[in-house]
Amino acid sequence: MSSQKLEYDASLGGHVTLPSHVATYHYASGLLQEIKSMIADAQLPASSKLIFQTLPKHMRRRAMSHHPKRLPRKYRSAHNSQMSKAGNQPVNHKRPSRKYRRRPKNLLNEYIRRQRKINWLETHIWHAKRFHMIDRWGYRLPYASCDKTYRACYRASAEHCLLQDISFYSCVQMQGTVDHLRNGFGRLTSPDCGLGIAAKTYLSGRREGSIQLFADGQYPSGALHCASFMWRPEEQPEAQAQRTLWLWLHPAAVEATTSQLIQVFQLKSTKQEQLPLPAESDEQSPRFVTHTKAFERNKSYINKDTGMEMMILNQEFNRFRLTGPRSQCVLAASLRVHRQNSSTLSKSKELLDASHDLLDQADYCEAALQLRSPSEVLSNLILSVNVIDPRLQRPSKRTKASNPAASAVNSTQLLMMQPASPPFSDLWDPELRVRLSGQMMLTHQYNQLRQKHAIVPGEPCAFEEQMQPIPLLLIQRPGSQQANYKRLGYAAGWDVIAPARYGMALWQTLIMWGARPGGLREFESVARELGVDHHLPDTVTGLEQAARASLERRARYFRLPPNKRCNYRKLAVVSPFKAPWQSLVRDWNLETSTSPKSFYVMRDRAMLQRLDKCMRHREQFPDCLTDNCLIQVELRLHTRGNLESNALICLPSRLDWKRYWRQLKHDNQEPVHTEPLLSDLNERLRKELRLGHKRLLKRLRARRVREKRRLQETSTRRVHIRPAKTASLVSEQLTKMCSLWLPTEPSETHDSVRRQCSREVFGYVSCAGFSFVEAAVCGVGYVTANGLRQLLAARKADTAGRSRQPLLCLLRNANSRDYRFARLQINLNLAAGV
Amino acid sequence: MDSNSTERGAKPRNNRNRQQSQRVVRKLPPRVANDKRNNIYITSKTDFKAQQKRCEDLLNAGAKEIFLHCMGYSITRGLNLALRLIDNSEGALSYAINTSTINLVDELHPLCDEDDITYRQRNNSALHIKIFNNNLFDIVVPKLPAQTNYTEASSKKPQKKQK
Repeated sequence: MSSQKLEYDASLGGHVTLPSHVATYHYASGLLQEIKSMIADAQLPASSKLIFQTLPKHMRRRAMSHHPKRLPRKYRSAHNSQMSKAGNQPVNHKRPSRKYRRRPKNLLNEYIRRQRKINWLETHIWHAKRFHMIDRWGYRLPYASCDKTYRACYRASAEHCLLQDISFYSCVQMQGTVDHLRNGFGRLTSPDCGLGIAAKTYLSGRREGSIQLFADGQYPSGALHCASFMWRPEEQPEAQAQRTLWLWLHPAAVEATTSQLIQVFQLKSTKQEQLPLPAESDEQSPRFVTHTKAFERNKSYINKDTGMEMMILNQEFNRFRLTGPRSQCVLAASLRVHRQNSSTLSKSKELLDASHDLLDQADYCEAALQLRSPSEVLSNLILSVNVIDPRLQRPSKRTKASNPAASAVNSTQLLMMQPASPPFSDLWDPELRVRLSGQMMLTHQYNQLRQKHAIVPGEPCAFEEQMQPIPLLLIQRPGSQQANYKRLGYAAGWDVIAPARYGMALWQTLIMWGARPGGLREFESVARELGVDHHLPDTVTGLEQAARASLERRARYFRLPPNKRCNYRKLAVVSPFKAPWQSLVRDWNLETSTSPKSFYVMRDRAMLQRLDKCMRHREQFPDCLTDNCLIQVELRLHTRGNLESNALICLPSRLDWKRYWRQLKHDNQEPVHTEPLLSDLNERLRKELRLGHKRLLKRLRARRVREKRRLQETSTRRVHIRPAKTASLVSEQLTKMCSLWLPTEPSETHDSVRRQCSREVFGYVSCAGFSFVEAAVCGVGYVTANGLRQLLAARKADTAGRSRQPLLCLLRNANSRDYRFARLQINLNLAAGV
Repeated sequence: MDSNSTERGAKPRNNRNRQQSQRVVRKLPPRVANDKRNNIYITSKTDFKAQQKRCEDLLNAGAKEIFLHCMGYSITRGLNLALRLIDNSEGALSYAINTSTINLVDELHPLCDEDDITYRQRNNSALHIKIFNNNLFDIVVPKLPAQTNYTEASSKKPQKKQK
């Protein structure tokens, strides 16, 4: 540096002189500090200014702090967070006006948005206005009507017509040769449970069948689900070996079942395909290109070797369930058969010419709907019919469909006579299905056309004849078929399968003809009246249902205040929320050393028949029962008392019989036996735990308060108390407390279920309640085979003189101490009513 | 269809000892098509007292006549009920009885895959009891015998007796 040049400060007489040189490390360290502080400032601006105050003048607007929309968009979120920290709530997003929301386009967008997470049925909006909706199996389903319709729905199912939407059942289409299908399904089911999938009575496509599915080769355990199926009728007999089959699966079991089907038939998804590239030279190894479909309407799987195809048809059909004798009238009133002489019916016409005395499908259907009750038709019959648009068949007001006049065809003749052709239907054809829903006239269009053309209100118009007919499949459901079990023909009805998009039109017509809509609750109540269990406890659906129900019960139990909870330890109930089938089977196992096998429900028809004979007619108890099977029984209380699900089924002792006879003599309705109260050892523990926990929380709080005080003495600003952060502590305490409230897990110790109370437990009730059909409290339960054997042996010893005495067992609810006698019988037809 | 050969004959008294190759499924017994209120079907399950009360209520409500239909096992119950009603009425009621035979069809469901469904036709005897008010002050044009338009019974008309 040259010293001649006058420096600023020194030249003016100041005392600061610039150094002649700079040490680089000092300089660098200074710069480093500067950069650090700059970065820190950029990351955490320490300016006390608000965002809008930092803006340059030309970007400022009036009332900016009040209205964040006046800020540039990139500052809005920061502004909002600043304002909310300061305690001033920023302007909330106002809900758009109702007028805006209800504009058709916006409404539709909203509906589409809401369906992204969960599926809707086509009748969803109709139901959502009238029903309590719940989320089940990936759908939003109606549970029960908002009106009190419990008894009304029973009456509808018994005497009128109950209508339910079961479109949530998913349809799986299988395509292949009969032999392949028979062999494949032979691995998934057992001939003991009933007819196979390729039984002659189903193969023609005239009847719908049901089949018990198991995991591949695991029968009798590993049950999946009871599925119903129908074959596509052959258009030209023996012309094509490929046959089509529809399986109707419950949504809870779809995934498990399809994975089993994929495994058994060795199917591959068609979403990703490997296509071989043309080989350029021979010595090169073959090269492939992977072709991925971006969007698949229906998931499909294929096996190239056998030609087997599987397709999951989601939301392709509407399936409505009509229950009750009047469903005949409702259907007859709302379906008018469409008659035309076009080419589509040519095949059935040819067949009709061959045999004149048989009715074709349409006539047969009309005649069948004239009968008094659906149970007079062949059970599980499938009818195919083309009807005119159901919107044209509505009454002007909601009216009860009246009984038709006496039919021309005798019911017994109709039962034994078959329609001329099997039920061909356009619904089986995927292209026709697409065309059907594409060409459907919207209700809006229909209304506009009516406005234009209808001169006299309520009269039919000319354009209505041009509306396309819709193909329907009607499936008869026989309901109760055993007169000695439940009322004959109860819950008989029809299932209607309609193409997609026609759901609402058909639904409204059925409702207008007086059908009573029901929800999921009505499935349970109809099953209870029928004395069947839709979801057996070892199936996928049954396990899922039991888990959900137990969670609900547990949550409800711990929502109650402690003095309203019943103490299951005192009541000697081991598993208050779900039936511990596995532990029950383990306790009744005779050979204790064997490894625990999973329980299963006895479905073998011949074995059930032998058991039934043994219970009714005192025959020898069959020996070949395995230890880990459960037997479904129907229970009926014939004195006082109520029954809930998860009640205990117990073996009566000799003392109980004695008291029972005495009570019968004196017409005494008291419970036969009352469980003595146990003492609860945990009561003191709970009290100590609670007190300790409270004390701990109090101490922690006091510590925080002291800390705050200490800070307050030195601080100039306002000091807030430190947040508690005891969430983990509290939740830990809750789980500990819950475990102290509940009895110990039954899986831990041996004999904990069987000898949990003063009577030996050999079964559990799965669903129960008051049955209007029987005018008694009825339920369905499951008992172990060895327990049943012991009960029968005890009966032989005790009631030797009273031979007409029906088989009785003891029942006790999980929340009560009273034991009562109940009658016991075996249900032979496990798949009834599915 | 050829496979659907019908089997004629009476319902076996008990099929306990028979080797069962088929599952028998009963159909609902046929009912009158016009379901008026004054047709009462006697079952073996319904409480006797309840049925008696139902008939008495109908008669007290002003019904001129009621019809009791009973079939097979419940015939005795029907007769008992009719006699009880008439006994209790102290001469206000009288009765007329028709007998008929009813065709019933049972479905026989197969238990093995190779068979198709078959039917069994059988007959059952039925009784139709008309109970009417023989009040002297009512001028009623007598309509005897009772014409029940039983769809099944009227087509056959096997033996009709008047008591």
